[in-house]
Amino acid sequence: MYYYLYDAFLSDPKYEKIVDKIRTRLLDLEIQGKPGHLSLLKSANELIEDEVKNGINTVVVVGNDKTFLKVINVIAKNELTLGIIPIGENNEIAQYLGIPPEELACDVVAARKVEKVDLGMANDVYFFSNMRVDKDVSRINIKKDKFQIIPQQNCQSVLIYNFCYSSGNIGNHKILNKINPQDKLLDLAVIETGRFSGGFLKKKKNNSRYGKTLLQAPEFEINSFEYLPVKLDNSYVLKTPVKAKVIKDKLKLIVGKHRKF
Amino acid sequence: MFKDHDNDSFSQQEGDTVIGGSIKIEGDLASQGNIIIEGQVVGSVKTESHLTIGQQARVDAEVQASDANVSGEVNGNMSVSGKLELAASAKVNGDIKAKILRVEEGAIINGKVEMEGASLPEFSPEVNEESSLAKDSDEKGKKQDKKDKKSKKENEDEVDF
Repeated sequence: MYYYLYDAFLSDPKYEKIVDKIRTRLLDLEIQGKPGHLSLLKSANELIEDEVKNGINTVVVVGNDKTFLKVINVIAKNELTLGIIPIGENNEIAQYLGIPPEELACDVVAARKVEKVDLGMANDVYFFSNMRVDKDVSRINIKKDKFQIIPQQNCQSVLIYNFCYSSGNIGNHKILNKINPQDKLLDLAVIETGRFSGGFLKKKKNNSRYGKTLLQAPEFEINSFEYLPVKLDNSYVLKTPVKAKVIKDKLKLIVGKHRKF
Repeated sequence: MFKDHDNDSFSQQEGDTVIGGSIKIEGDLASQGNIIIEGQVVGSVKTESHLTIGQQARVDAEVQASDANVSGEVNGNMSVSGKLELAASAKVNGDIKAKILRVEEGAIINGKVEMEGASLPEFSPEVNEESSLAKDSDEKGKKQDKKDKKSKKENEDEVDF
């Protein structure tokens, strides 16, 4: 049974026609399922938990990357299948999964090609894409197996990836291509501070946000002397120490033919 | 002779471990894939594949690799089962053990160099026969020398009388 979770931003009148087209297409394909709507008063977790009791096994979020990332924890905990119908901007995850925008995505949902991917788990919270430290990076150390990684002064951010759908975070495609959500490994990338070039007035950063380190392991542990924030999927914040590990084949995703993994 | 590894560090295969210039690693770094080091490593480095130590890298560690290219500084013994290449900027303070060694002009080595090819080859039976013949001829030669010395002494004695 399908449950369609519409994001709150879709209540804007400008999305009315698109949403109607999607509903019509779902009806044509006979996968209309049950709709739910996010709002300030209704969280994704509450809505989905309620529907799990009614026997749903597939959740399709209608919205963008943020909508998708909001439901990851509840989906993983309840072992549901997740799909997305992308609407509007910020839909890089759907692109990566090979899902076309708006009503075209309904056909992919109907075809129901499911791929299992790994999820990251930081302490007891799941993350889909990455966990990162941007503040006081030189004060942390990261343990892996028999060695520890100590970021130096020119280190800007440390990211631990499970799934990388956006090049904006690293800027280095050769590193990005190595991050695979089905390899049962987490990938640690380090972004170095850019070098300055040009004269005093033309001062600009070169190569900033450019990843130059890549280490792969099923587990990493981030420690620091004081509590430092660790962001999960740019939405959830934990404090150090954080133990991150990969959970194999934890998430079942509906994907299109043109997926990039 | 050697490439600028800073620019092509990421042209390697999957499974590479890349240590950038902004991090330091302490402990035992081991990998089955290639390792590229542009930063600092203290401890030990082991790989069953290729190891690249960049120009800015500093490795204070025992190093074991299948093949290696060194452009930076290594303080520790290196054991390479295949080919070891030292660029002009390389500095190795430690003993080197390699099957094939290629050293560019300007590279610094402070330590012993041991190469597999320098050890005695295993002899085939034919070679053993030749060598035994050679030994026999050597022994005969030595005996002959002794005889000559004796006869010389006798002659000297005769002269004295």
